[in-house]
Amino acid sequence: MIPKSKKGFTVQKSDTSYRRPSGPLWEPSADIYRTPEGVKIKFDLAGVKPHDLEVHLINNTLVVRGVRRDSFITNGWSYHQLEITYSRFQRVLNLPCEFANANIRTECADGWLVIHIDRKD
Amino acid sequence: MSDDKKDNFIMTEHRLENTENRIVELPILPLRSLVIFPSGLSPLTVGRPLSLAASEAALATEEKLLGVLTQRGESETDPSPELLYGVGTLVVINRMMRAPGSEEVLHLIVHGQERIRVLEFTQQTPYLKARIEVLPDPVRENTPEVEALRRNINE
Repeated sequence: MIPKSKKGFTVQKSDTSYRRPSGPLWEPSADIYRTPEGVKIKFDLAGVKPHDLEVHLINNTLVVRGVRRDSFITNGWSYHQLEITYSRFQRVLNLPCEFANANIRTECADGWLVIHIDRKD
Repeated sequence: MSDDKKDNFIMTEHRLENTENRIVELPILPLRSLVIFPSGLSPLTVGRPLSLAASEAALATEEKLLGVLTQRGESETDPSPELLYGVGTLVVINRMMRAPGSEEVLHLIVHGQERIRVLEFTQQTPYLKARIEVLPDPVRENTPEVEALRRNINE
């Protein structure tokens, strides 16, 4: 039985290597904060639904992938201008140290995806 | 798995689909004298009725995906499926703007994603639409000659 998150994120920790999908994908911007507890990573991912996101932590490599969909456009509308990038994305980040026994928590607010990785001391 | 672990590593049954080895139906944009590879960004100016309709159809979808196929010869304005090569590229429309003063010309920037092969055309008007198969990455020899050819094409 796979435990389900109320927020719908998929977070996996794995020792195996992560296979990148074929083809280049767009990369969301990310800030990494060092905190007394560990690190916090903030991704610029406005408009991405939690169930369209996957988060993988492999040793000290964090992989965030997913898809941003334009659910705003409606029948009868057409574009005058398009500047926001949709479709699949992936960002791979090397964290400053390994988090073998870390507490991981995800949060989605105000268009940010925030991943809290706290050392388990 | 302990309860503690369950709290830390949240998993759902939902998995994101990879387009690799997938069959999907897409609007098709014919290209004249141009090949778009599955890497990098390409600017396109779209003005032919078939191409305009295909671009508008792709823009109206959630992911802005479009199939691009190069046409054989340049003379045909509205090429039929027989005049298109069967292998092309899946692209995402990243940017779009209408040409100032004209509703009939679109400027696009597309991002090549993956190689595709047409299985069958499912529609010819008002725009071409086809069932396509996403092809796996070709196995590439890592020789200086192949690398030189790749750089030559990309530049």
